[in-house]
Amino acid sequence: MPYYRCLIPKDSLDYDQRRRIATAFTDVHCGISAAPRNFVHVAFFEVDKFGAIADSHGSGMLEFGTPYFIAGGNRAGRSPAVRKEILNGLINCLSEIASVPKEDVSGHISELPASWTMEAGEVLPEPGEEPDC
Amino acid sequence: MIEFQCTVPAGQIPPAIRGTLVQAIEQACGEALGPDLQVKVDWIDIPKGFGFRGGEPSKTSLVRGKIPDGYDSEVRNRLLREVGDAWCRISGGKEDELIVSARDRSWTGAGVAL
Repeated sequence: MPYYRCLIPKDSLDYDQRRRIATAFTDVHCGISAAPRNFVHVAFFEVDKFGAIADSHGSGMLEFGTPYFIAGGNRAGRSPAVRKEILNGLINCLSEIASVPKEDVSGHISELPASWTMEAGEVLPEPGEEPDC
Repeated sequence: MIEFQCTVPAGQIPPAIRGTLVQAIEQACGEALGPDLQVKVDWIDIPKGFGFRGGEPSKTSLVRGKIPDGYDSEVRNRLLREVGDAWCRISGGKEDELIVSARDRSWTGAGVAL
């Protein structure tokens, strides 16, 4: 289950923008990873200032110094290069839909073994072993 | 110490049942991982209109645990299953609106950043 938390300034994005970003994130992730679309979860959290957020798929805190920050978690098994490609795509989408410079957006993607997660009652398959949807 | 963080869409899990859910998580940990382990459960609510799945509004709850290292897959799967079954039973929620995970405490996540 890819899980992307977007930390955004208060009142910076309306519902339409959030939904368009969530859809775009799904397009990016599925376009690169071939994961089913309903695996992709995106949540937005409004924050007052730069800070840190707990890593959802690793340990410790992720510090950020940009107004917009994407804290992501993926199933383990994809190379760092692929995860960077996904992250770059997400940053581009958020920047475009939010109408902010790319320099105002940063992000991080951690990974977790698929077998450590159960979704819809089933332990997740390894990347690339998803059933056809 | 075992830590669980429950991220739920606002309104999906009423405060009145959260205590019961916490007890169920504690019980599942005790039965799967062994007795005498302290369990801490935190809650995060996602406001309406702020959570999405596949680009659509989401009703999915995420129950993410951090457990001591060293448990094998059979034990971990039992924990995931028992937490999941209890959550659906108590909340009345559907299985496909729930994600449960349990990661090793020492797992670092091998992150990439931009």
